[in-house]
Amino acid sequence: MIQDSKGVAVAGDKEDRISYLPRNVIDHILDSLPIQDAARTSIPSKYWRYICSILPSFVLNKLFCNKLAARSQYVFKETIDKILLQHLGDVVIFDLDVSGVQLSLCPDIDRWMLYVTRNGVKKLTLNMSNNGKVPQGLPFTLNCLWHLRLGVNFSQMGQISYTLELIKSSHKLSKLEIWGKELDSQDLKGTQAIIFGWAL
Amino acid sequence: MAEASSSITEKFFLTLKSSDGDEFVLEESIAIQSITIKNMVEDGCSSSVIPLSKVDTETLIKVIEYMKMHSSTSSNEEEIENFDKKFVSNSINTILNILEAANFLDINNLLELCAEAVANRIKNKTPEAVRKIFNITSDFTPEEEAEIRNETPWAFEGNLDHSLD
Repeated sequence: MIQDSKGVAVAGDKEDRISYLPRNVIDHILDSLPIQDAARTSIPSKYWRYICSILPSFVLNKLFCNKLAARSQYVFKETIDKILLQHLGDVVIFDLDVSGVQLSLCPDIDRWMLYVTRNGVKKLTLNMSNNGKVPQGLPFTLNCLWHLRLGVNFSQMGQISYTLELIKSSHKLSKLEIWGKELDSQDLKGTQAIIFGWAL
Repeated sequence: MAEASSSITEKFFLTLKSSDGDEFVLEESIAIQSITIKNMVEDGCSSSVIPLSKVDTETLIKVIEYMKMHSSTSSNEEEIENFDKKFVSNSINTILNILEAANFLDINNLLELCAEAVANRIKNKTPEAVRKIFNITSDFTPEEEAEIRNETPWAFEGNLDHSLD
């Protein structure tokens, strides 16, 4: 069934080439798409129906998270829970950018991290640089954490020590950026951001 | 024959044959950007013509163009960047052919470049536009389609692009 139309090269520009590409190539194309774009690929035809639900990568970018969170924390949480629930198969790449979401979401993020680490994640990217919160319930051996962007409140010892533990236990970390918020005790408007970033 | 890499002064050439039967002579150092070809060379299969039964002439010309530009010495970064930009402006079917060839020939950079170019034609588009761009024929009833849309309502929010650019 898959090879049928290969011979119809005469059809030229009117030929459906993309549906007949090898599956690994299709996965490659969809891998880099943000989740909302990947999800829409279930519509064009029956062949495409389930490709995105078994796709091994999740890219929940800033735009997507902001849009959902703008509606409510509940909508954001429910949607991501549902996305993870609807997924079939392993999650190899998980990329979550909640840097633009100003909500107290740590328990949910912890739960999602736990979910993906149990489902074979190999490349985990977490960006929560603006939250001033550090997820505290993460499993301590995050052998999959690849790229981490955290916003750390340096006036809280707990956050500093937790961040250090997180870095120490993440053996595969290849890029780390820490955004520090140094708060002037007198005047909160005097917020200064210190950035540390290095590639390991 | 197979120890080409040990010699710097002497150039080795390979002959690649497309599925249409056309032959192209290419410096070995350029051709081995393809891991498939590199493995063939290392296994000593390169003494005669290398048949690439899955790559037609038009596609092979593009692939060779790409490999020449990306071979280490001859081009600078800016040139390569401009070349890549122009390269992905080929028609979508040409890009899909090159993508499949890059997968077969195992040229990772080229695969990445073309996969991204295709992804960019999907990004932010309505499913109807995606169908038209890629000539996909729908075999869903309107009811079935509505049902699928309902599963992921968050994927259809905002201003999606109807154009075929």
